[in-house]
Amino acid sequence: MSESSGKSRWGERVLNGYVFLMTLVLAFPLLVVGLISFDTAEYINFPPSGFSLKWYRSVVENPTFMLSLGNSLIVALASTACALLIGVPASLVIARGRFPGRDLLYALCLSSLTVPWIVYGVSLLFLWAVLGFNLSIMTLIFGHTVIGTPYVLRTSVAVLADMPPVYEHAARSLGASPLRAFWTVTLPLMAVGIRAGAAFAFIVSIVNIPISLFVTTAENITMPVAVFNYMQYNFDPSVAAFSIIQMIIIAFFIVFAVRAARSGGVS
Amino acid sequence: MNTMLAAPITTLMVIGYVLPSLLMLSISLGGAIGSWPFAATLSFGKYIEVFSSSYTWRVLVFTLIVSVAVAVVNALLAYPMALYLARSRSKWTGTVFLIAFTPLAVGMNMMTMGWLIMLGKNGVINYALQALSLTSGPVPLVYGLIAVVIGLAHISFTFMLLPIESVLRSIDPAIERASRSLGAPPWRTFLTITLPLSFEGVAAGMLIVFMQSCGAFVIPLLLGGSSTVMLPVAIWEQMTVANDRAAGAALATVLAVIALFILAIQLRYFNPRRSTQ
Amino acid sequence: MNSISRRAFVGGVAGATFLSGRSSLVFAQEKTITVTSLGGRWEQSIRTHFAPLFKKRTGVDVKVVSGGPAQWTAQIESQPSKPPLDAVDNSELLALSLIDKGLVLKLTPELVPNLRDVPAQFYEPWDSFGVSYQYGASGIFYDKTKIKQAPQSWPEFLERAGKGEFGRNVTLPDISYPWTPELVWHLAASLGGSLDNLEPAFNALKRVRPYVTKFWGTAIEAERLILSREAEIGWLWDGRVYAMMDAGARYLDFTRLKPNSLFSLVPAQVVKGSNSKLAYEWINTLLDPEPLLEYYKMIQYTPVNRKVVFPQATAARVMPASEGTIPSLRDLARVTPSIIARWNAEIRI
Repeated sequence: MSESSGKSRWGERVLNGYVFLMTLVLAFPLLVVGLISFDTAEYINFPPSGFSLKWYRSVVENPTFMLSLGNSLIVALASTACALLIGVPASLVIARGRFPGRDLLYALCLSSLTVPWIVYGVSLLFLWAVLGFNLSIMTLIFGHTVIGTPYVLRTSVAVLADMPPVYEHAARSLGASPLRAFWTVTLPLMAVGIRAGAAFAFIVSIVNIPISLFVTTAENITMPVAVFNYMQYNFDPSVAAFSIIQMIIIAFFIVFAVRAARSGGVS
Repeated sequence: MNTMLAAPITTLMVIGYVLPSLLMLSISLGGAIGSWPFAATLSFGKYIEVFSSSYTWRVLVFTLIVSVAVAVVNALLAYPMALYLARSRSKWTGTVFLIAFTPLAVGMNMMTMGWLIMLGKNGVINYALQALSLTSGPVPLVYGLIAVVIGLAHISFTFMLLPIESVLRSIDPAIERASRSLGAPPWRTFLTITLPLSFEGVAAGMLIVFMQSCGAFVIPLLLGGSSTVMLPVAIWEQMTVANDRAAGAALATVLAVIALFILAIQLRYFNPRRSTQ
Repeated sequence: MNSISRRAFVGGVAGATFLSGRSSLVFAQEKTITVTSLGGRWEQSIRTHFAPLFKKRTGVDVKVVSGGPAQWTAQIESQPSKPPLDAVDNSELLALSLIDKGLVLKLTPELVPNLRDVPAQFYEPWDSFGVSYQYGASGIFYDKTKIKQAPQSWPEFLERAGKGEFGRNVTLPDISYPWTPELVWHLAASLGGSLDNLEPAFNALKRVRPYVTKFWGTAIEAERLILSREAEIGWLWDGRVYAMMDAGARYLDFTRLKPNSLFSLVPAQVVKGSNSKLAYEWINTLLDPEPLLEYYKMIQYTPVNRKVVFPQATAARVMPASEGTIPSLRDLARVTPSIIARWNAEIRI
């Protein structure tokens, strides 16, 4: 008994060491970008030649960057909300229900993950042209909902597939209505999957370039598009500073999502 | 279960995905921009043109090989970390979780910059190798297959990690406890209980990572060399440099068909219905 | 979990309502013109040098859509009845495709008075359906601490690079860079070939290929290769190299090669069905010597207006317009697919 627990502690140590190494590798570009963002030079170079906050100032003074920051938050939050509202109910029928065309629908939703985004961005522009819609932030939210929803669906279905329907049946047999069984039993158990899906939807929206690129107007430009446009023709550290700002925003929402999921789901 | 719950997603997918895809298909067959799909006469000329070029085949095969490699490498790298995130009670899990998101949050341009600084001719690794007198000159690490796989694996790591982690977390710990209380050693419990139960998550992650790699553009362009062209780069060239939208759309359709095929295989072996029945 | 989705949803809806309300207000007043710009320094120059002058003359605000020609052209083509842009800065070839589809208007000296001070070579390629207000000139950058004697002509550069004289430190654009087909023509032309005989260029490029550290896809990639000292010699536009030299890259130098340089042009076009009167005035502002000089000081691409007086310090750098060249754009558009195919077959191996 003691031998076995000793072995497992040893295994745990190896695992911890591995995770520590992977964390370093994953985080290292962050470190590089962080160092570059404080550089004094006019061009990105490594190692940096000094320390200043001038590139952060230039980001704040850049009207396009600041506009894109607000737009990105609106688009990412709205499209994540839409993706959850559409994807979570759909995951229930796809994982639990039986109706003709179910497999086809599931395959259809997942296959939208496969479209090369650069092509999808162009086809969306053509779609709005055919339908006669003006380009705006609403058309952008729609496009981002389309790419975000399959992530919510995929992770929700994955969790449901491994969750025995026995729990729900038990709740139902104890007299709970289907809706109540969903709220009190299924949804809390699904929380991990939904959290992962929501995090994906939020992130694919907030970092996506190609879908927004072709439908960009003077008003609806998003953060990564502003960075992309800037980086196409300029090689100065302000993009590094902007990336750091972008990362802090994303980190904030991820922490928020993790907390919300833990407090709402587990206890 | 009320089937109407699937109505919103069906509508979303038909308008937001099927219709644009048909528009793309129509353009590859010679349709005009801004018109309804298949309004004009159809021509398969672009497909014949595209498939009669050996370059297309080379790019296609390369894209598939790289994407499979990235999916496999990432599954192996991410699984232990997912296990840690799902099981460890360490106070560091929150931090590790947050760091797992950084590849996405940094953005592709900046992440590529980081790897170029690391792997470049005058980069950190080459500097270290020469300082330690392990090599006399710079070693070519970047602008090839290895750099592309590293870059793609890094950018898609989160998409592998999270599905595995969420499935591992949803496995009832009582099952594993039961196995152990029956005298099975930890590794055996892992191999016979935990691993099979988490396949759904690994499959989900591999699918997403494979498809993201197939559609990757920035990383093969910046980290690859002249012999490591992937399909999206070829599509971009047709769309912008050659201004030939039909040829670009034809290549894009090819990519979509391949992806659908892979997806069909995966759904056949990892159908959610099977595990619920 | 439900708390996050609820909160996010309320926030998103509130934000979206706010924004859609705001944009309808903007449309209602119609006192704006929508133009385009490349991002970064270019956009900054449009906003600080050109837009205020335009506002002073017309009382109209300028809205800038930043991005690139591929995206703008696609937007104009997809919504010809109500184009989202009034004026567009296009690429040389995409400008032609808008002309052929009848989506842009002709410029005349009556409508755009500053056109009188612009050499014809900057609007003739597009039959006056577009005018480039600035130009870049091709040449080679080189690390003068490593390369003591710079090549004097394109044939000399290609020959020495192909013999390995510069080592594996050469850099050239890849075919994913929109100007590469023109570059292939230009190299062929300087070696005695033409658009219908690109053999000399491909032969030379095949010899140089083993010595190319990286074929770059975007100009900033070229800048990175230069600044990390990974590339010691290669092809690039004058303005970009001069900007790097002025920012402190003391090891760097630039030279234009004989017999001539390739132009990089950005034709500005008036979109049909837009607020064309204001759009003509905008093009006229783009050609105005006063903001053009400020633009030049910031970006180092050369203004086309003859009345611009260059600062003493950098006047020697400016290439006279007579020394630049571009191919017949219609013929270039015709052979571009075959250039891409050949490049893929012969260079990307």
